[in-house]
Amino acid sequence: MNAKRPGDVIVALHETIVGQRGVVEALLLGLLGGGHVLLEGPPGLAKTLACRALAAALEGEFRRVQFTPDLLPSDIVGTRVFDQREMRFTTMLGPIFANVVLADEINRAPAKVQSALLEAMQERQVTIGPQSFPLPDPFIVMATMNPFDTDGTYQLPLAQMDRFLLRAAVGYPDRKEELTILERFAMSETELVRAVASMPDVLAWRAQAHGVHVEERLKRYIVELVAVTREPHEFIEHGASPRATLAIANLARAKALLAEREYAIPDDVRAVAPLALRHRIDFSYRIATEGVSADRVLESLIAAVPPP
Amino acid sequence: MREYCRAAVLALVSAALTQTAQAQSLQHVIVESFTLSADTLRARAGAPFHLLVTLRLRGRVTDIENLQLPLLASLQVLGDTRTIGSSARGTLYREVVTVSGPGGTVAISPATFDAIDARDGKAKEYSTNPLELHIQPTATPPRSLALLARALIVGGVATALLGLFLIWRASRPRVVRREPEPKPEPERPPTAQELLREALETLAADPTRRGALRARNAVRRMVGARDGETLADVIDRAAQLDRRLVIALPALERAAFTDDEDLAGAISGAHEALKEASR
Repeated sequence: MNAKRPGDVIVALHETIVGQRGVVEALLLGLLGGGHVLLEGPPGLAKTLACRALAAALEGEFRRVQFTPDLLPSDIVGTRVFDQREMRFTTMLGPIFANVVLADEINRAPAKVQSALLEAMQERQVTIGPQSFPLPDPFIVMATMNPFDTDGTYQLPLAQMDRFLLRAAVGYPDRKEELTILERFAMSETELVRAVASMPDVLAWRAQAHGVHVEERLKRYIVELVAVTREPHEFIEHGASPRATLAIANLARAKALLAEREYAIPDDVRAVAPLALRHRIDFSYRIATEGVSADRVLESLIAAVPPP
Repeated sequence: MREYCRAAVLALVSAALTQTAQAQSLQHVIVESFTLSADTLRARAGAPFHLLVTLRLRGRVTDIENLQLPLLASLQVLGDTRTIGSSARGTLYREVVTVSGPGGTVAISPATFDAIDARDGKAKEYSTNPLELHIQPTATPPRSLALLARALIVGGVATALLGLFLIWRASRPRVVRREPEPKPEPERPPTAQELLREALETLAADPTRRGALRARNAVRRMVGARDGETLADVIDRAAQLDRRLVIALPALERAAFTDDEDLAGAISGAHEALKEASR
């Protein structure tokens, strides 16, 4: 085992972030699982702060891109400019070249900008002009979406949502947490956490997470969880893809590593299944017309599959 | 003896019916678990106990066909109850066979269930685990003691008759009240300690993944774990759970889900934890 533990990062993040335990854990799971994270929640809930704090805790480079309707792909990935003194083109790398990239309000930019980002997320490299540039490793995109303010937004298609390893819902703090926020931040600037690990540590943790054992019966449980979303259901149009199966397994491994285990157990799978499935299921319009919660539907599907 | 012959004939008839059933169309189902268990592993000769066949299926199924009970020729079958229940979470079929038998070790072969696996459309024969029971023989008193006991009973009866006659003479026309007959003591369910010891013995006798799973199931049953509950649910719900069990349950979880390289160490750890919990 590495001397520095992923759990140290969680402890460090909670020195800055009040509450939001689920979100902080989801960020770590995304980091260990080697995927990207979609944070959905209203503004003002420390989504940006959480991402900045994560980058600071890992001594990584952090960049934030505010997505707007007039954003261009080159504003994210970079562009070639002509240097008149040198009389040649030089490449200006975009803000995507960082370890932790916050794509704020990703659904405010048009589809071509979204797809430029999502392609970079998938390929982990960017091509500008004739040249390809690898993105830093580790590279994690944390995108945010505001579920309430949908005017002037461009809905992310399911195929693009599928590229996020997990989606976490960011909720309001409770009264006690809000009081702590008031005491901690009202009179002073937010201080970012101290670095508790480095990027090589993250790569080592990812290798450890990759080696976490998932028993055969647990694999069958994962397959059943995904398969049940594809069975005919009054509130589901299309179930989750096989990428969801891989995502649940990856996240269960990461969850086991956070618990300092070298094997995953049914609790790990059941805990991460909603994170991996929620954004990969195409819920029917009846969810909205009949006022049914998609989370509740997903919860009932997961509960219908008995763990081993 | 007649009862044993009846059981054997029943089993033969059952086997003949299997042939007919196979010729018929099989049910399309997804089998999740199929087990054979007994309510006690320490039955007494002549005392009734129960064999339990449990079949869990995915989806709603109203009837179970082509399920064959094991051959129970060496046991006396006293009764058979079947229940089937289904919900959105699946179907649960239970068959409880009440039996009794002579002392000694009884090996019971697996129950079988013929069906078509709805996942791949193939006809399959599902089997439960086999079962081995140790039925303790009842102790017979030595002959001289038996004779003495018989003499005491005869003497006692004679004295009682004389006493009754004298009482009747003295207190006529009063009515002598009869004492109610003592009820037979009901079969005692196994205690938590017995179940723990059973899990411990299972793990010691079969230190494999299968044995670890059986021990895990026994301990989960002991702490009242419901179907579909994970380790976290059990520990969260049972706040009053013994601290030693809180250590034993994760140890069994490790033995059930760790990789093969770590299995021996995990089983040994689970064994130690169970030993500590059963003290």
